[in-house]
Amino acid sequence: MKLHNDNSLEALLALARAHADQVEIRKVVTNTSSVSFSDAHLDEIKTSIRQKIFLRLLRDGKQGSAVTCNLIDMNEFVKHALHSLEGGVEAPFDLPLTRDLPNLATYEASVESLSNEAMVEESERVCEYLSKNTSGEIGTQAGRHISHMRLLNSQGTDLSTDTTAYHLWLSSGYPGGASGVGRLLMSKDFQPLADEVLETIATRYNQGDTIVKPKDGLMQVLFTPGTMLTLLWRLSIATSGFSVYRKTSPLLGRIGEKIISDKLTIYNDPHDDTLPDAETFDNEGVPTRKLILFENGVLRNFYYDLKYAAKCKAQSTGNGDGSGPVLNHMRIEPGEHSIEQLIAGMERGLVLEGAMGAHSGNLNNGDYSIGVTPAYYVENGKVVGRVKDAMAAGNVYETLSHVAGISRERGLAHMNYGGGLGHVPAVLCDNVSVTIKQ
Amino acid sequence: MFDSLKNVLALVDADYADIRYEVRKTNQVAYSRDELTHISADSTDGFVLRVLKNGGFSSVVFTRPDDAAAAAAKAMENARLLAQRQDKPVRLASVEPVVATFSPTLVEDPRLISIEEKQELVRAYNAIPLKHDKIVTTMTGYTDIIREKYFLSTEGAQIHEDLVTSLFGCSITAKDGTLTQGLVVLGGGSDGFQTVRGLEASIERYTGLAIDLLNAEPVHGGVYNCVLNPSMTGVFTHEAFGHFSEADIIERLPAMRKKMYLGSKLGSDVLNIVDDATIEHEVGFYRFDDEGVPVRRVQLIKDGVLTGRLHSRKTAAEFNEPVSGHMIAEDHRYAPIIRMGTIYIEPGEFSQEDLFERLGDGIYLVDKKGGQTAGENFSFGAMYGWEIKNGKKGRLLRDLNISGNLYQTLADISHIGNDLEFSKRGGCGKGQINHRSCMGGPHVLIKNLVVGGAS
Repeated sequence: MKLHNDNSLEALLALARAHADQVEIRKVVTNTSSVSFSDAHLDEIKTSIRQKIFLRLLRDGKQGSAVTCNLIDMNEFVKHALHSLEGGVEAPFDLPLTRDLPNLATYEASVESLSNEAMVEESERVCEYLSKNTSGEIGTQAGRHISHMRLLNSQGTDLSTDTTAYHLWLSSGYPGGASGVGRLLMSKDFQPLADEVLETIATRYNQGDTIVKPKDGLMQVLFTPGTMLTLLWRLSIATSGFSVYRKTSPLLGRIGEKIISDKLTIYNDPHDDTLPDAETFDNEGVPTRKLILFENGVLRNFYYDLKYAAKCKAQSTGNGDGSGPVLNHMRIEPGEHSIEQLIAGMERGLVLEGAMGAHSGNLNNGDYSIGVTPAYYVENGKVVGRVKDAMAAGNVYETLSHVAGISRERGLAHMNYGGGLGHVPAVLCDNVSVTIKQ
Repeated sequence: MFDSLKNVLALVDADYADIRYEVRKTNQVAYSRDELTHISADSTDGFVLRVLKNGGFSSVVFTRPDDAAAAAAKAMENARLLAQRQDKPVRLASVEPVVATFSPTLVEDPRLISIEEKQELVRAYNAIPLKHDKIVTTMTGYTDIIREKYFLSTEGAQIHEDLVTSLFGCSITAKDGTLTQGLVVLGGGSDGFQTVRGLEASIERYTGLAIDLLNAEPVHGGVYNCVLNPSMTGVFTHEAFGHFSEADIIERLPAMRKKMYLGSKLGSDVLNIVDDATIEHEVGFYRFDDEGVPVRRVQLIKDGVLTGRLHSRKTAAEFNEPVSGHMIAEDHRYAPIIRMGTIYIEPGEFSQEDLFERLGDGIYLVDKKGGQTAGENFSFGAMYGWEIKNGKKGRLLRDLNISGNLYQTLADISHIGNDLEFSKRGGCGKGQINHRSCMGGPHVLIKNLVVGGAS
């Protein structure tokens, strides 16, 4: 891919510098293609070739911003940012001078030559296996992503990064339900899907052939990595510097206090380059670092961008995305047992494969109330069937205080609609309230 | 503009192609707590090219005019690959190519109002909840989105349509100890800035409610008969049923497609559902969709029987049903997908008091708070509600989320109110955000809803 390292950004920086104390410019160029199969048939191939340029001006402790796709008229673009500056959004900080960052392996050249045809073939293989081994409605999406980002500011920071990613989402859905067993896998380059993943999906799917209606009430729930999103989302809101500043975090003033089970250590690790999107600097040019949020259940840190760090008299933790603090690389220390061993140890409970409504409920408070799409009922260590028309509800702090086990396998949990991934184990929790329509 | 788009279409050798160039202008003001957090006026633009060749139909999105040749080549390559590997060729239902220019009638054009005036209004709204001690924070924002769309097809369609959307939201958070409770006041519309004026009383009322919710009781999980207010009826209609009237979803789910044939009895006899994006002044209003087809009113359910569906040209041909003009993109970053316009349950005969009386014991669910579907299962939340005992409002309830099964729930709608209200702003997130997804209806009584909560 062309790096688009033209001189226009330097010219823009010089032009904007004449009107402001400090200037930040970030340009992102992306090239993505994706191949989708529905009901095991090739359905869509899409490509997107896009760029976006962000401009931020700082003057007298205030900031202004503007965004565009095409730098057609630089003066007009700067004028937009100046107009925004006049609004008076506070910016009680300086932009950083960042250089000499460590090298992370974020780019794999082979993705450049990964063809749509190759992704069609891989998807056909997946569909064929799942069609043969389950009676579900099979959906897949494979995609390749290449992006280049350059960030420069008037302090002398000039950083750039190239990132590649390959993703495969696959699902076998129960006919009519559109709930089913699915997985999202991501890597920096094309990786043929491992047979074990296909076998796991087929096994779990087939355990759901029988529908059961067990008695509801308090029971164990095994949150699989994908459904851990429900819990992590609430923790990511509570540990945000934005929530600290707004005083909406229930964790306010509780650093050093035990909040959740001592079995849980939860952190953000942008330097983990075994997965795509590792980063050494954030969208404000601040170096990133591994940040522990909960260590053996004890709250250790909140995360900040430049602005909310300044407002809360803290330091940016390198979690700025330009519009607020974000967590994009959440991790949980894995446990010792396999998911199947955790299930074998369950007396009575649900394996939650899909959660619906993770985004609704009182997020600040940590409350959740989710529809199961689907869940599997376990009795005496054995999966006895699939549960429909049921909800699991609770409060994240209560639920994560009763951890019975953590799996050694980890999987991806999409952190929010805007992207950002967690790579986390399955977590087995006691005493979750489950309502099942009889 | 159309001349340069013609030049892009000339780069492709296809059976059909269309291109949409769009400039998206936004004005945004946001406050949180007592502080201005964002103010901007931006303009972004880009192209979406769609190509049909030998039955392969592909789209490419690009932002730089210089990338047009590369985008055209990629679109052709993708279409050829689809044609080779798909099990059946894509056909597009035929339509009369439209040549038109359309600008909506605006009562008060937001483009003529300064950003300073917008900022002042948001600042004043934001200050209302903050007068109260128990209110710990607010997030108050106004955005207008102006989509200037230029659509050109190889069949001769040439349409310029502007869509002007005003969006307002004020989220109010009350706190007591570690307990927080939040409510959101929404406003906005498709016909001008006046839709976000005069919201002071609503904000005041919701502020009081947010404080009251600190002392409300969390609902106990269980199965309840419920009366839904129009906001909840709207989200139920949209989430639980509406998405399955979108033919691009049903097309790919054979079991549901089999069940949802036109003429199938899906709901109770009292149920009538319509999608009508031609209702002017509602937020769902538009004239042409993003593949150049005029939108029309579609009766989706009549007397409980499925009578219509929302289509693209592709799905209309696939289902052999008439086109409806429901292909909508969020903006220049996306190819269009099938979206609801203004979906609602048509009013019935019962007053709100009648419904409570017929409910007897149950829950009155008020104002939507998020929603999601997975096939025939749906889940969505209510901002608050009341326990109803013997037809009378009792305790205020919080933490209300319901889930259910589409078919069962449609059959369980037993009584329909005689009022009708529409949502003021959209926000449906089916892969892209539809800021103009409009939904509504009257109060309705539904039996046997699963409500999540403590045991």
